[in-house]
Amino acid sequence: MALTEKYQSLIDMANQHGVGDLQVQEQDSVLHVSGKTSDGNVKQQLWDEYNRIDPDYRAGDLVLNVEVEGGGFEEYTVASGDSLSKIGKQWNVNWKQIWDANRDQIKDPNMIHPGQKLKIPR
Amino acid sequence: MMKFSRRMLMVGTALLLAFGMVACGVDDAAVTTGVKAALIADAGLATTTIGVDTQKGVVTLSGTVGSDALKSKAEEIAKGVKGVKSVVNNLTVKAVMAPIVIAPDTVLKTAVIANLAKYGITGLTVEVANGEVTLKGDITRAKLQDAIKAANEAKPKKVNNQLTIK
Repeated sequence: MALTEKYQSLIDMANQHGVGDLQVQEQDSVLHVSGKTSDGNVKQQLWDEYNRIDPDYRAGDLVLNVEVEGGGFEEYTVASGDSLSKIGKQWNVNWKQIWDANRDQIKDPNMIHPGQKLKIPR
Repeated sequence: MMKFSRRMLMVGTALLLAFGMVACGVDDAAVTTGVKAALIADAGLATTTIGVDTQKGVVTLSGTVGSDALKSKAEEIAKGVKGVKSVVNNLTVKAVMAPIVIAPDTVLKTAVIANLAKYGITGLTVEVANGEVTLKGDITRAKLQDAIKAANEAKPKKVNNQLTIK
């Protein structure tokens, strides 16, 4: 069970944050971790922990699938050429809802910049 | 005199009991065989390997079963076997999880491409074979995690990241 040891901090984190339907299962030398959360930050923290353990994601020994359920936010990193309406279409969310969720960092809805991290309401 | 003979009788009875127990001891092997046969005859337990040891009619079960229900069931079955006085249930329960079902390659590929679009990523090569997703192409460090998320959230068997991080 070397894989559960390698990713123990991630599994502990998922447990601490009360990730629902948490399943941790090793199959064909890949650890599958899945669950549900209503808090997009929890999903992001788990991904950041994965990033800390394997910075370039090259090991290919983890499949992490944490779904954000209703009421939560997904984190989206703005790419060059993005607009709120384009992002809205990608996530099937009205661009105004995205703007509302990010009022703290978006003053002008026409001004978003690459690398900016937006909250996408789910 | 009456008292003495009664005592003799009691000692005699005790001796008989002791002898009887020794006689039973000879049958321990038979009890073990009987319990094993009864366990194997049960559909739920047929595939599990349960250790059976009998000492003076006391049966000890050891090994691993898939559920608490099977643990209790094995004990009940053992108790029902002739010659069994009691059962020490040392079985441990280890849940056997159903294998993760991976979607067909075509479904996986469609899901990965849809997820990439959701995360605003285009221009990557997505290869899917035997449930394994391989990502190729150039990606910025800032979008790397999103690309990996897109692949992971299609629930593949494995993700091979062959992206060139720019």
